[in-house]
Amino acid sequence: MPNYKRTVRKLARWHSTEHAAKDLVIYSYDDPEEKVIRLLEVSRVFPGEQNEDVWSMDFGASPEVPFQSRVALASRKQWRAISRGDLTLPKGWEGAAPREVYHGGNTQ
Amino acid sequence: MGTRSEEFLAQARSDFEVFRRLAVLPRDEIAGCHPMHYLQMAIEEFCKALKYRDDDGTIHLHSMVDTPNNVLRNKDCLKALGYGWKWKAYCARLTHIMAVLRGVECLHPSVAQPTDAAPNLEYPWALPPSSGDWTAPSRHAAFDRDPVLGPSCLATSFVERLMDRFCQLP
Repeated sequence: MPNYKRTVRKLARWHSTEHAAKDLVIYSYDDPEEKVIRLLEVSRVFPGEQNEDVWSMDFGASPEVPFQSRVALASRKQWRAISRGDLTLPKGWEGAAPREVYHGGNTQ
Repeated sequence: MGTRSEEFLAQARSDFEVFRRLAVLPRDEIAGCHPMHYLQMAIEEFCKALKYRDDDGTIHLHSMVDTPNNVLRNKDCLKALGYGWKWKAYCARLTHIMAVLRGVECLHPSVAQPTDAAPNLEYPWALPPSSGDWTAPSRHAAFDRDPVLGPSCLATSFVERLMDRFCQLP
């Protein structure tokens, strides 16, 4: 049985390698049923105004990532709007609290 | 109906949407070659939309990598796309993104398979050639693991951003 949290860390590590933005922070919106991995990646380099919807790119389970995964990129402005409750997360992400899994060079 | 460029852009957007819908399905239900094929077509059509926007009869543009430097490697492009990268960082990321997208483009049969001996997204190949050992794209496990179906979402989101901001590109 694949380990959910280990796979979250693995995906976060891959994405942090790819982006390499110094201020990149990755949050996991953990699925209580451990079926879907949802990562919100925040950096000032990502495009997006505070009123611009955050959308996710969704991928099916694969040999490398044996869970469905959804990844959304958000600018700092969007992240602040999300934190204030002024901007909604992609559909299906509601109800989960963000858990920081990567912060500027460190996978949590 | 619209201009040739507009219609290629419409087709690129439509194919990208199919890519998104196929990518979300489990790889043991829909093989990786299928979403990748739609992404490949979306990239090609986007490039043609760009070509026909600017065509002066001299541009030979079939792939993202062939996109003229005055479009993508351009500070106005960075501004149009809205990324907050500094110019040097943008160029570095662009090199990475182009490498990922080139990997997809190289799986077009006409590029990958001149001798029926290379993996591509559409037709079976024999490797080594004449070995009688054929593989269908849908049974090629490496496609299921391709970074473009997960870890490289920066590249795919970049493609989508280019299509969204097409009218503002230099």
